[in-house]
Amino acid sequence: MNRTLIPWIVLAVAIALPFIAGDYWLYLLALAGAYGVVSVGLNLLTGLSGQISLGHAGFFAIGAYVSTIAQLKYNVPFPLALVLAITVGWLIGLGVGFPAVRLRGLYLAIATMAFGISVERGLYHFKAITGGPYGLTVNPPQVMDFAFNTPSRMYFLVLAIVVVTVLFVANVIKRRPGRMLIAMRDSELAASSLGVNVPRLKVMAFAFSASLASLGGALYAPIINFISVEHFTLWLSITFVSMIVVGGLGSIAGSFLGAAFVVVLPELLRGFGGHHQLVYGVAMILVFVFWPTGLIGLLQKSFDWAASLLLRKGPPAAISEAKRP
Amino acid sequence: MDQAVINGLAEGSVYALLALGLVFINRITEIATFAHGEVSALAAFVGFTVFHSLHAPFAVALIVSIMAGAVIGFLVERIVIRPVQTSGPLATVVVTLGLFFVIHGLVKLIWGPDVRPYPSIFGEGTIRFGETAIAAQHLGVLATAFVIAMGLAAYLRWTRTGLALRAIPQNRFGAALIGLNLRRLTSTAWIVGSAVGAVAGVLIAPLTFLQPNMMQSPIIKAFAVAALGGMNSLVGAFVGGLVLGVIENVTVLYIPTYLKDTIAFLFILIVLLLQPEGLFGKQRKEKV
Repeated sequence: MNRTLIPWIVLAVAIALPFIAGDYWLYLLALAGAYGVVSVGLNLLTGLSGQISLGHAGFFAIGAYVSTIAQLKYNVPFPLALVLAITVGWLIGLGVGFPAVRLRGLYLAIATMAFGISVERGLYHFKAITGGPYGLTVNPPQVMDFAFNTPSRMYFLVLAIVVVTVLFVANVIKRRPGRMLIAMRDSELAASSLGVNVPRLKVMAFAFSASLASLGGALYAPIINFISVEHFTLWLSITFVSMIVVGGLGSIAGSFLGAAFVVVLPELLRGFGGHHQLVYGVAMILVFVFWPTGLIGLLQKSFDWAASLLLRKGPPAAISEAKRP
Repeated sequence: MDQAVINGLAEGSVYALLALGLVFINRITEIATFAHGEVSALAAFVGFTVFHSLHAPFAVALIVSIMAGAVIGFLVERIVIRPVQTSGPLATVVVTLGLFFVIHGLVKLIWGPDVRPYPSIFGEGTIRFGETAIAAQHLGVLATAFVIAMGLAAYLRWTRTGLALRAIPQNRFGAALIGLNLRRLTSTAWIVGSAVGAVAGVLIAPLTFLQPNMMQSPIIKAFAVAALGGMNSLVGAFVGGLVLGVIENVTVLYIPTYLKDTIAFLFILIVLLLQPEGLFGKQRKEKV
């Protein structure tokens, strides 16, 4: 079986889904798509360049509020509001990214955590604009006269943006910037001696990741129709980290799997009384201790196993393992 | 103003104790645990249950809390940390964040989300010093924090284990070479650090009430303070904690309460920008 077929199959299934699944599941999947966009951005930062951010809920909130306020108060059309959200996220990411040049590992985690919490408090402080704890009601996005006012329409909108994002990020990873990032993650010194401008690359990676988080936020707001300060806490930042870890570090498909895991799990555990955080935590630890490639690694392995059974070629070869960075 | 300073010292001594535990663990193991606050909250909850359900005297509950902290610290290191001990900062950050979720979830699962009053260890009275009245509570917290810090210093200064614990951050390789049992000492660091954290939990519970989220804001500040000391300076962590507490409580006189945390963070961001390894930290040099 040809591996290049898989993305097309996934896309076909994704397009067919609205004709099968109920509105509630479409809503959940759209949510997973929005989180997935953030998760891809974070994965680029953490999985590829090895920087840890605990402040992505801040960028997510910035995207959500910028696009919502632009549409509500200034009647900016939706596509422009998205672009605005991405741009603002990118600019603030540049600003916050400067510490990234000097800080490493744990210190970067602390600094970004401080940023995330400051955004949360800032939203509270400027409640005249943001609604603070009372929140803002978000209208369905509208392009020309077409309103994305049903779950299936929203789903297709998110799907389209997810596809564009995935293509874009896949290209970034495959080409020069991605290779430079991986070189930098493995050894900053070696990378810089080969001509990689490490500080610039770090700031750029951070800003890019931040702009994707903002885009995710701008999608998130219309999906859930309502945003308030309580949605954008430190918990969310940590949940983003758990998405990429559980899904698979450094993998685009893994990012979306992780996002889906985080969105769908609470639904499956509803009878359990909403203790999903406990399960996220256990999953994060288990994955890191026992299965560092995450859900995507698990999927790949079972896929290889199934393929080898079908083709009767004996046990799966370790090719997929060897290919992974 | 005086009152604000005293409140600040009391609150700050809790940050200081939490930061002390963090730094203590980090010096030996090079792991900063994001689960530290939740460990201390869990210990405080255990003590509360002993006090409330078994009607044990408060002193017993206190000792149970501290022992619970030590046991949790031991278990955490043995079960979760040891497998990723050498896997680098990403692994340890992620795993301790996972632990943060797990312990938080456990506390919520066992005790529920309710907010409960926690009895003060030091009573409700006030003590007068000339003009100013100081709540016995605040004075007690401050005094306890000092005693614990002094105890820790004495432990490091005058015991054999303390000597070993001081040797490790100076030269890990050398310490292993002269026959120090790094595994045992790592375990010791987690036990002592978590027990110190448990004290912080018991001290702050009467101020914030006992609830699953009670450690969220203090632990973040403890992290910030510990980072100022480069995650390595015990003195820096303690003094930094007190200073941060005072700064917060004095600035709150002039700005809205909910911006209190933001001030602290801006301060920390600026310090980290100017001095990436912390104010008291040593500059790290890289070998080619």
